[in-house]
Amino acid sequence: MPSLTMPQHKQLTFYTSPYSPYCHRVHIALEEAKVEPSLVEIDLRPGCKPAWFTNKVNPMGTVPAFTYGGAPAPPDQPSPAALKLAESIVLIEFIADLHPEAALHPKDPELLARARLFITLSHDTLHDAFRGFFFRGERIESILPSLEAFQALLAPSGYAVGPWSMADVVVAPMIVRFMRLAGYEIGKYPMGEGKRLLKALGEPKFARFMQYYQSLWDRPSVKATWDEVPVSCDSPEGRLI
Amino acid sequence: MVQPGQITFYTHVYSPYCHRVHIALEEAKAEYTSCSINLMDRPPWYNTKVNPAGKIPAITYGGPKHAPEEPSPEAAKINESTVILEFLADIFPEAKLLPADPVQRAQARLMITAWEGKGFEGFKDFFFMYAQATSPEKTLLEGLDAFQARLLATGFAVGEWSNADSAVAPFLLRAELLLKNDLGTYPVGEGKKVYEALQGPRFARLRQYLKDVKEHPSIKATWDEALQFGIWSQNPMFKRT
Repeated sequence: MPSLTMPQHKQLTFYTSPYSPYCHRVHIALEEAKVEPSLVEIDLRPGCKPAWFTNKVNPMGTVPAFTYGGAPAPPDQPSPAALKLAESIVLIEFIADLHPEAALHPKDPELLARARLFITLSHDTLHDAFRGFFFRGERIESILPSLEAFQALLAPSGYAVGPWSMADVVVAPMIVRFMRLAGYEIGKYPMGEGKRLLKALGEPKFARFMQYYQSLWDRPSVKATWDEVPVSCDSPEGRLI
Repeated sequence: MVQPGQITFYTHVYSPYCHRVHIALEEAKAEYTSCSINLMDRPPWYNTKVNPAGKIPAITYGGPKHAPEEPSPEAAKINESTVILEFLADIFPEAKLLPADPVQRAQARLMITAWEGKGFEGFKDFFFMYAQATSPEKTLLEGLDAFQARLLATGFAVGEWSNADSAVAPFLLRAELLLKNDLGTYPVGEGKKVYEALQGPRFARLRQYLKDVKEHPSIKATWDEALQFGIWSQNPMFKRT
């Protein structure tokens, strides 16, 4: 592994939204690294996102986003010298590089490659099922095959690739939302599908998935960054992001 | 530089994804055996022995040297081009496929992720899905402009050559080749029109970047324009009635 120059303490500002599973990924990684950045909440509702965010922090206009380094500055006027960074997985890799002690990167390159491959393969399986269920309003028949395919990617025991890694950070927010929001019937899926999903996941063929969910739910960084009350509250905007 | 283990590389010259890995192997001065895989006529052993997803690129790493069709059970099998690029950066640290500095590493990774979004979308829409796309020319030019906007004033994506260049250059080289020769699913002349647009002042920085790319040793070693023209001009998808 390359030896990385140890950074001096530099400012870290994290632009986030409490409902976003992508931001949740980064919150988990920061929790694992025991890093506490300045937090700036960005309102993602249509018409509410401030122009300075797209102009000065992230031209793609998305959260999560970081500024890192540069002179301390107000969140809406970041220093030109500060690094501007976005994309949840890029941010997790960055935290892992800054904090090798956080064990987000397995030390063995082959295991780390397996973690990164798991992340890539989770997009068309778990992530697609997540968007299908919560955002496209699909029924469980449409998403269960993807969840089964995702389950097949898991190591036989332990976390995604065995020991804890960034792979778990990436998928935990979606799995937690499946398991914790379906019971409240929150999402675009037809009413009643939430209960049907939990029943289907209780079947023996999803035993490994449920075991994995339990190990994620038991991980302190996952519990500490999941605030169920605001997410489960009904809101006109259907705040799931 | 002592290579830690054997590498067998499953590839095909047409593929920009395979090209990414080929460049990185050359950058690392790795010892490797190449095996050409034609996905239109996939050998029956490929899915079971190398990559269950059936795609290229893939590598085996470690274990004893083996015939391509008989990977050793001890060898790691790694697929997905960006996963392989990261793995090669990890096992060839002196090659600096990614910079040592976490900030620059993050910038390189963001360039790759940003390209995978708008950049690739434009490439795919314009050359391969012209009729179904909404505004393929606009998407292609915006994707190229967005990549250009992230470049430093001179040099490669983050200064020295990195995985960011290995990841994006294969697409830029093919885009230029196809546009210059008016090859694609678009109507006759549309390619040449976009090629002309790329000669204007808006794209001066991108043209310089491409010029620098073509002079770079690992590109010279892996890009044969005449060969590529021969392959792409025969592509049945581009046949015009």
